[in-house]
Amino acid sequence: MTLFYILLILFVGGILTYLGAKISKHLGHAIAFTSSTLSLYFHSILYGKLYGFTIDIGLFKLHAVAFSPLSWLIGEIVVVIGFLSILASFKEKHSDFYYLSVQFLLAGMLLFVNAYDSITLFLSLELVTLFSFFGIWDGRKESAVKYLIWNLLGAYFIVAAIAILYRFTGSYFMNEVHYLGKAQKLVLFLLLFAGFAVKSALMPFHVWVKDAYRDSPHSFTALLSGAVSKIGIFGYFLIMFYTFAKFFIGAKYLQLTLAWLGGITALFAGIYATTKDDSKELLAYSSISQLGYVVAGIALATPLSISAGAFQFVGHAIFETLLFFTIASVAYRTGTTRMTELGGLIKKMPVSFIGLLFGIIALSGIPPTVGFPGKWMLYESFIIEGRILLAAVIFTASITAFLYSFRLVYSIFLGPLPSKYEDLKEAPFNFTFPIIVLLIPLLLFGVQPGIVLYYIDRFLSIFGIGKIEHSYSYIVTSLGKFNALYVGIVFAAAFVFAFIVYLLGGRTRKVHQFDNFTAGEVVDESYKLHYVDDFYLFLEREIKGFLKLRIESLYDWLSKFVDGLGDAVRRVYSGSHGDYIVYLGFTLLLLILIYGGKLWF
Amino acid sequence: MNGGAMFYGAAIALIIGGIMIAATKRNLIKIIIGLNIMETGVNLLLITTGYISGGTAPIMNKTWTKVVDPIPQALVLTAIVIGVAVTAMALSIVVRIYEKNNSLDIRKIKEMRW
Amino acid sequence: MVNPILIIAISLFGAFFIALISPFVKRTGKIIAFLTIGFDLYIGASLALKSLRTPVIAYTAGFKPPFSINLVVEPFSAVFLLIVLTIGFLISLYYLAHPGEEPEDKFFTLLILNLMGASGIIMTGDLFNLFVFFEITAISSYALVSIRKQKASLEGGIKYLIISSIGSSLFLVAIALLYGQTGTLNIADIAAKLPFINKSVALVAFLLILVAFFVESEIFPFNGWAPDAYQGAGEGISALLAGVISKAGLYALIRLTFTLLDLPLRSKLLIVFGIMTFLIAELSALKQKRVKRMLAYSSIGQMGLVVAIFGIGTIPALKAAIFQGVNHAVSKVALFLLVGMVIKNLGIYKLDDYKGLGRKNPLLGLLFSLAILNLLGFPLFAGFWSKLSILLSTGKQGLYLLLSLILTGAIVEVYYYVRFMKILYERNEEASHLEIHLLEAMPIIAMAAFIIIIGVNPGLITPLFEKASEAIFMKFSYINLVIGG
Repeated sequence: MTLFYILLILFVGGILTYLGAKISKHLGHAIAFTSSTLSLYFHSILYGKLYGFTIDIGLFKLHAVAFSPLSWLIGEIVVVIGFLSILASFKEKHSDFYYLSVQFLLAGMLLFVNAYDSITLFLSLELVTLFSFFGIWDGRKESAVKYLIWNLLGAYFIVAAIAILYRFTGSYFMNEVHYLGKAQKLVLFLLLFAGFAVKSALMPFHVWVKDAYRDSPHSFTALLSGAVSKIGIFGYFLIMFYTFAKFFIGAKYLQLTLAWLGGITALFAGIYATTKDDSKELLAYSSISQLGYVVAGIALATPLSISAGAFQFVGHAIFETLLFFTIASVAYRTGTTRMTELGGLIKKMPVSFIGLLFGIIALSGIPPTVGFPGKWMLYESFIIEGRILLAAVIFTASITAFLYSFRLVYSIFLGPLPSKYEDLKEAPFNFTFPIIVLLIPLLLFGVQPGIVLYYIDRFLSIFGIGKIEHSYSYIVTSLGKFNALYVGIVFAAAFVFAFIVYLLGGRTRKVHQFDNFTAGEVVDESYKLHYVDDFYLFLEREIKGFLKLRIESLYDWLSKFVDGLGDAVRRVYSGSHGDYIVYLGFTLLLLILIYGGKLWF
Repeated sequence: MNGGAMFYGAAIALIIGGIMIAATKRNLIKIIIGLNIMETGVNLLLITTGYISGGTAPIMNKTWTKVVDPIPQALVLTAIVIGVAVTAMALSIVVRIYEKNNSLDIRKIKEMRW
Repeated sequence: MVNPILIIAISLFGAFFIALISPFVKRTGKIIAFLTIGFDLYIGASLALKSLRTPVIAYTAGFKPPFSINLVVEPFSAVFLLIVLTIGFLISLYYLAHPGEEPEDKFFTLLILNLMGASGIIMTGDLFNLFVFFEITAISSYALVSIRKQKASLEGGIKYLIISSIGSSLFLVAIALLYGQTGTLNIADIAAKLPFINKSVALVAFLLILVAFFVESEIFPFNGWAPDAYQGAGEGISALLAGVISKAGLYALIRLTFTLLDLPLRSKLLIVFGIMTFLIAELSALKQKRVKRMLAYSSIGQMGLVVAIFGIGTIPALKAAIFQGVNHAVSKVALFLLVGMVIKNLGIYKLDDYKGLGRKNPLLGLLFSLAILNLLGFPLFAGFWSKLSILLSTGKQGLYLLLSLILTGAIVEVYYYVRFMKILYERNEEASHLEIHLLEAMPIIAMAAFIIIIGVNPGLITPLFEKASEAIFMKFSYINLVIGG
């Protein structure tokens, strides 16, 4: 019942926060902090246990059972990021309802990862949709509406599949489906997959992400990217290796199609990310791209690739959240997320800089961070399976990751400092704390990937998938053995060496950035010392034709079409009573002729 | 019901005619007249269902003769009353419309549409 | 013992008592209406409770059916009676603090009569009696719609009158045909004789009844009057149309097509017309600029959805349809009453004029949002369970096309309602502050509480719907109940 109490804490805490904030802002904060801390604590002590509950609400019975260790893992990601996000959001301006939404959202996600029957699954999915909608609503409403429409579309795919499943199985449980035909299984699988694809922003269902991430409150974006997107990933695991396990393991072509979908998502989103000026838009596309790796990994369905995908999503939860928190702290101090308006913050905000630096190192998959082992295993699994082309696509996607992450760190923290930011200070503790906390697993899991892999083994064995050979620091595949600890040490040593070389280098003198001249002119603020506008213009020029090909134009056309249809359809109501009588009379005559015809002629 | 066919035919003709008048006329009064014609048709139909050729009024006396079914007649009485009420209601709305628009043309009150 | 006739008697007394004393005592109409409808609700509720154990039948004129007119309250009619009377009661509660339409005493007389007609439709077991009650409801609602001396009200009223009186004439024709075949007017009696009557006559009567009540339950293409009537009427009356009058029409439609003329083509026709209405109305609502007209189209759409689900005809589907009907009634009535409060204070009708109102008036915004979220079927609200039941029951019968069309319409509905919510919460410094009388907001708060309580624990109310759907599903139990004993 512990899980039930956690949900209760979050629901009651949410309502109390809302009411408390009406009395005093601080009371509301205190309640939100307490409830998120309590949920974090109680969820953490569930580690390694079997837990769950059943409640009867009359119409249905709701079952929430952690039927695999994956539930705890994603649940823990949710409560940790939720706690950090709530902590950071105290410094931001929010409506009272915001804290209620966040806590309800956390409860919804916890319920989702433990949902044992399809009713609970759909209920919690809708809860997640609704309350992340309200979270974004606190930022900008248009984006929230876009988010809602897309995610409801996904939820409707899922509920349609649930209804059809119920027809054939007569049960609401998400147990393995045995006695359906292949075609039926395929259709149901694809419906469910599409539903979860909207949540995890797989292409072509990714168009809401850019707006939602850019416009949501900064600390909420971390939650959206770090935790809410994992809902979709959990859904993939659920359908691929549980509900449709036998079908999916046998369906090679389906696996390959989905893996390619993931690969293409990784590549395209990476390319789009390099062209973005808004740092949150850039990170939004990077998040899509990184989740594309995850999909490619788990869809290939070998023990190594699934482990790689699972490791990658844990990594994604860490570094993507970290990156969004650093952007949040920058935005808190400067009030903007546009990279052209930023620059040179390295000395003003060192902690944020360190956070962002390690974040992008992990993002690009460089040791000794959590981004490396996952990607390494992913490449190896592709090569072992002989999917060289897919590996090449994913590798190209990694190159784009280098490009956009360099742009991120350069435009925000390096280069000249705009004079309006002269008196800037480091972000408050509420922002630096999450950054520091997230740096620990980022490095730890990078050199000791086994900590995560042992846990991944546990749920892979529950799903009946074989495991890979590994210890805390090394991983063995058929291509050889790789020791993350050694690699990490080597990289760290190289870094230290380079740093020593830098220290021993020529004499330097520190000057102010405008104590400078170029082409004989003394420079001032109006003079551009570095290129931030159109950072990758030379690249964009090359792929101009590609950038024009956007799925958004199709969706825009569709929405215009529906709008036009609405305008056309309502003209049926012409306002003339004569027309209405004619409708009535003709329909009646028609009915009599159609049905009477069968009888009389 | 050998004589009934004629009555049925007349009733249906009245109903369809009434509806057509209501649908095609622009003058509100004429539309209401159309509705009234339709109601008359319906009443005729009701009466016809209880009609027995050559029957007399259903008055209970000692000599049981061929009488028509009394229930439709009771129904028609009620239906007539209801029809009058609807007509009165319609006319009172029309009076107000005339006060507002100075016209009985229904095309001129087509503000609400779509 | 509670007698269903009491509802009719008390209402008639109350209605004409207002007319009687209004020349002498001014402004008592709303109190008398409130008391009368409250008393009706009390009787209706106790009848409903009783009928769940043993159905209640009242005879008039001392004869047993089929020789006399009878009133029957069994679970299905009990649920509808409860909806109609509760909504009516809440509307009369609203009018305690909200100014009624002028002339006030006549307005409240009409309101009581309208509710009496609606409860009569639901309780009666006699076909012609049903027609009479139907006309009482209809005539009083023509009057209620057009009581405002505005162009729009009059226009809506006259269109409503013309279309609806054609519909009711068609119903009378159907009665004549059925009486000619069976020689009886009792619904149960006709239903029992159904196998023996001429097939053509049964078919024509069925289609006539279908069309007649499609007109009342706002089904396309018979609903031309509905948007205009909703838009033209006073807001309380729009609420009455959505929560009472259309629901009474729906009851008659379902009762007559399920019990009286149980033809196999019913299912197909209800589904086709219902889903067509749903889609057309939701699409039409997309481009509306006036709040009331948008709500009107949404109301039509919801009626279409409910009718389509009734058309499926299995017990889970019937249950889902009743549930959705209740949710729609609650939500839509709340929305119309809220719009009424806004119009009373500010006199604004356009969607864009609502800019920032919810932000400025937190209670108003909260109630608006709750009603909207319930209607859209989001979790924690009752609407979630009814929408889920609808989808599950549709899927269970393998009606995939219907399922996908419902979901399509639902997305459109979400879009325009959320857009409305967005307008409500937009930043606007010039948004006005509303004077909200607590008594005026009371019925809406009550409905919001209902929405949330049922949303958290739907088991509180679904057994009632279960019984109701079983009652309408098994028509022979109804026939036995009325003429067997």
